[in-house]
Amino acid sequence: MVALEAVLTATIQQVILVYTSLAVSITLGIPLAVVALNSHKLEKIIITFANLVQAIPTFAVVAIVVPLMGIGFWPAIFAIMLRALLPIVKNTWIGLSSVDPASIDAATGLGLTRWQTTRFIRFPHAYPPMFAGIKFAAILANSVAILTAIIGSGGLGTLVFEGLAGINITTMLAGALPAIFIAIFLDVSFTRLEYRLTAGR
Amino acid sequence: MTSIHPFETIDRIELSHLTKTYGDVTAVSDVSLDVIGGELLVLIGGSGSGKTTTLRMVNRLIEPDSGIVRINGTDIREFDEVRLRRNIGYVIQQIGLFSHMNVGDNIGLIPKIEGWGKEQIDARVHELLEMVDLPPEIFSARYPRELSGGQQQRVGLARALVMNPSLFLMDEPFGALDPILRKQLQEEFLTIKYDIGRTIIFVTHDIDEAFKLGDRICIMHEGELVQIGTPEELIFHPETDQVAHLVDANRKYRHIETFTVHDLMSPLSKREFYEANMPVSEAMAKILSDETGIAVVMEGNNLRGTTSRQNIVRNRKKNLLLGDITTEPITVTPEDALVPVLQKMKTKNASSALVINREGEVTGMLIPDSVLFHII
Ligand SMILES: Nc1ncnc2c1ncn2[C@@H]1O[C@H](COP(=O)(O)OP(=O)(O)OP(=O)(O)O)[C@@H](O)[C@H]1O
Ligand SMILES: [Mg+2]
Repeated sequence: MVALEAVLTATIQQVILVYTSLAVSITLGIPLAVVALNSHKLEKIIITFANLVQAIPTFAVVAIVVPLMGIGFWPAIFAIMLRALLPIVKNTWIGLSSVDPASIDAATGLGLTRWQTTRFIRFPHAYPPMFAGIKFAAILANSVAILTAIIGSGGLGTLVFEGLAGINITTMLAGALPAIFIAIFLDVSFTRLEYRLTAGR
Repeated sequence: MTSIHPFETIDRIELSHLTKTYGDVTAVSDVSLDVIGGELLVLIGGSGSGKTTTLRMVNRLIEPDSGIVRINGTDIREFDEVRLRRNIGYVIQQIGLFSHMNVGDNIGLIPKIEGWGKEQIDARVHELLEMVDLPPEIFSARYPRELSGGQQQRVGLARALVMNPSLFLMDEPFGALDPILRKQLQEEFLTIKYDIGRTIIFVTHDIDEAFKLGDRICIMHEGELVQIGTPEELIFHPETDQVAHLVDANRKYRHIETFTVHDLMSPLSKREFYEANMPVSEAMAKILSDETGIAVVMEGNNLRGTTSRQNIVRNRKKNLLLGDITTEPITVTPEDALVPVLQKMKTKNASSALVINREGEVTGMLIPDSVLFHII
């Protein structure tokens, strides 16, 4: 038997891990996409780096963090962020840069500054792919946050690994089931948010 | 320099020796021309002749490799470019409506950025949509993809008008339209043009549109300016075969609607003036050798009237003076449109009309036969 309290604690830790890493990823990812948009040089570096990190197996990402930052909550956040960043940066960048050139031309011709064009023309246009990226990143973060239990992040991974080690199906499910529910919740809530922000188009 | 309003009205725009190349392609080559405040100047030429490039150098969307654009004498590089553009209404060739914004927001974006209040913006959007014949209650909330091509172009026009600029740059604003809608929009535009009375540079490659809308027309070919002038100057004095071909100079009658009396009047020589106190018998000898066969009869410096060869011959035996057999002529001014004048002559059954300028001098005569020979 698993104590309900232990499941609850692990779930709360899991949720904190997911939302914190997601918040960090969004805060970093969107500005990175804007930077990429405005400089061809940085665009190459950022997109190459993001693709590179994506190519490293998740397990290796988690492992690499340990010699750099040790173990615990923040190293785990960093590892999750490395994973969650790419879909956010890439989707935002695609959304921002795929605006009809004629719209950008018209905006410039009407006297919008570069920043105003980004703010009023590019961003609203980028919302759908951006939200798709964030939603994907959130689900990714949830699964990576299971793995980071092995570097002491806490969360539902603790129960999953404990269950695996002791071949205890109940303990394993006590970790896995809430993780599945969190994934579904993330999907549904972000879909709703996306719909509300882009409704009518 | 970042003055708030670079200019309130346009006196003159000078494009001076503008050149722009892209690699091997010379898009615009040493183009110089002046745009006079209040006129509609048409840039016309084939595809790739440099019209768009020339236009975009006026609002600094393109910086020339060499040459200067001055507005009211000021080099436009001295203006803040954003300020400059907000003072210039620009309709781009591809329309470029913002797809994620409804019509009202498309038009109201710049006012919003300029910090106008919501009610003020709504009122302005309303006014402009009425102006371009799109009922605001139907169209304000629509998205660009819910509009036809012609409706989109009208929204583009309204958007360019929103800050009430004194200068417009319009790049084939009716380009994507079928002929019927195009004609309709041209008519609407003509009324808007007179309403707003602003300086407009208008790009097209439709010569009929150019003649219909333009005060002056500038013909471009492969980046160079070939000829600039009023429609009549281009039709009656084309400088190259190419211009003659473009304006269809052999079929001038096609453009009869654009002609004024001035373009087609026959100049008068001294011979055709007669004194009122000349005896008819004496006048007959003179008029028989005359080409036009119409006598302009003067009493000193004042016009007494006209009379015809026929009339003189008929009265040759009566002991009359020329002044006794004149009739009051139809008089017109050089600026009058040709067609209404001809119609008036037709209803009055007149074989000629006298052209009298602002100073009150008789400067010429309008003779339908001679008009006909000039335009075919
Ligand atoms: N950004 C650019 N890069 C390279 N070449 C260009 C560029 N812009 C224009 N050109 C070339 O310059 C020439 C003039 O182009 P421009 O767009 O001014 O022509 P246009 O008269 O407006 O033609 P159209 O009637 O087709 O719109 C063309 O040969 C075009 O291919
Ligand atoms: Mg063009």
